[in-house]
Amino acid sequence: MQELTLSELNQQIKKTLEEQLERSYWVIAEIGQIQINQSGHCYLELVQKENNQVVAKAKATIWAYAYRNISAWFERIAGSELTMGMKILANATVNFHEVYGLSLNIKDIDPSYTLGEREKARQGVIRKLEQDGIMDMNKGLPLPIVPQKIAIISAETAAGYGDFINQLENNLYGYKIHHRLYQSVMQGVKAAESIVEALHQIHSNNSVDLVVIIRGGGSQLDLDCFDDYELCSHIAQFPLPILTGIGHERDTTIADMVAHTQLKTPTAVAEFLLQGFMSFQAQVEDYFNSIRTSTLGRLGVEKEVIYTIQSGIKHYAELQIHRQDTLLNSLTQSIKHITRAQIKAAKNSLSTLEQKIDLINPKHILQKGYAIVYKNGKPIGDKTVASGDTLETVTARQKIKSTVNTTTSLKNL
Amino acid sequence: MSKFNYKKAMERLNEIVSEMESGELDIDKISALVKESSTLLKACKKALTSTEEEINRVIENDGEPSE
Repeated sequence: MQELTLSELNQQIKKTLEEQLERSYWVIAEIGQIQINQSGHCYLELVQKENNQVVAKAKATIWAYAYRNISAWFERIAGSELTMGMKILANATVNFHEVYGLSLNIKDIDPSYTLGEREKARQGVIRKLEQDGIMDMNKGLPLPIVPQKIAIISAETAAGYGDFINQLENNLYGYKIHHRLYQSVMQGVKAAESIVEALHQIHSNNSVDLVVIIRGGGSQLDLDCFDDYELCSHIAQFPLPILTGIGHERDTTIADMVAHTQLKTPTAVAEFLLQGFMSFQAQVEDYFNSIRTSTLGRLGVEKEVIYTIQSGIKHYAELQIHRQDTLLNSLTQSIKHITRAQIKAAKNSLSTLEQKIDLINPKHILQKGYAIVYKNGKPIGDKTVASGDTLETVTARQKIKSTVNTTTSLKNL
Repeated sequence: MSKFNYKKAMERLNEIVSEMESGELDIDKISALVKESSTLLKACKKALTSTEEEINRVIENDGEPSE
């Protein structure tokens, strides 16, 4: 049996491989590890897994020149850079080096395969969430009328976070909204886990009305974390409404799908919140206006009633005063009439009395030549006297004492 | 001087009239009665006149009655 040196063996292997293998193969593999060195060469470890067990493994290299083209093209088409865990379809030549052993040299990568794989994975996640029956769970939560305590999941340095805070705090209407940032990694492999951790922190804080997940402003790549089953499951089942403003141009991520409300950008989330405040304010103002209108209306009616009563009182008072005035006038007139009549009557009776006294006064009779004859101090009147009686006769000017000589009876005059 | 009383004066005058109408008065008494009546009549007339004036003044001028 012929003995070979290791070098001779390796040369033999190399020769056999070169003779037996095609110039290149399209190989399906998962990126187990990926590393780019200072010169720009890309070193990968490709694996194949079955039930989480590695069943095949190979080193691979993409030389710097090729890598620049391949990675740019891949990112443009797949919307993501080459990362660990990604399934790729690579065009590779098999190299065998006497010292370094077997390695694949990747000449090209087909991004559409990765896209398809990712879409398959996405559909798988969606299917799983649907099977869990939690897809629309967060959407079912009522949105607070005016959410004033907002938990923000973002990276402090993200431009989108700055935009969001700026929009919220410098709103034209002076709305005061309390917000607190829950720091999280927003892209890459660790993002999903980091966001879930932030959600746990928010959950332990009781005084939060609403959660906002914003990214924005960063790379359009690496959105895969928002399709992560664990993250999306947490978002869907979170007990507070979650708004997303992830700021991407490609189709909706699954996080967007399960969130309460999906918005394009962080700024749009702020606008959405402010819009809610505005419509609430408008509604409150509407209520206020209708209360004011009905109150004013009511006041107007009452004023009218009071005015009517007031003028009624004035009218009746004036009428009453007028009546009393008339009554007083007529009383005055009556008093005038009555007193005058009384005085007249008094005058009349006085004058009658005067006339009577004047008539009775015997002086007048005496002056006409008549005389009054007294017997024993009393006028004789129609009595008779006898001879020898002493009589006194009063005339107008004299008193005569005499004695009766004879008497003669007279026939009635 | 006691205050003049119209009512009493009139009563007295009527008394005088009936006394005189009775025709049983002696002449001296008649003369005294006539004099009395004349005095009373004057007083009554004066009272009426002043009352009338007072009333007119009060009613026409809304003046206060003088005490």
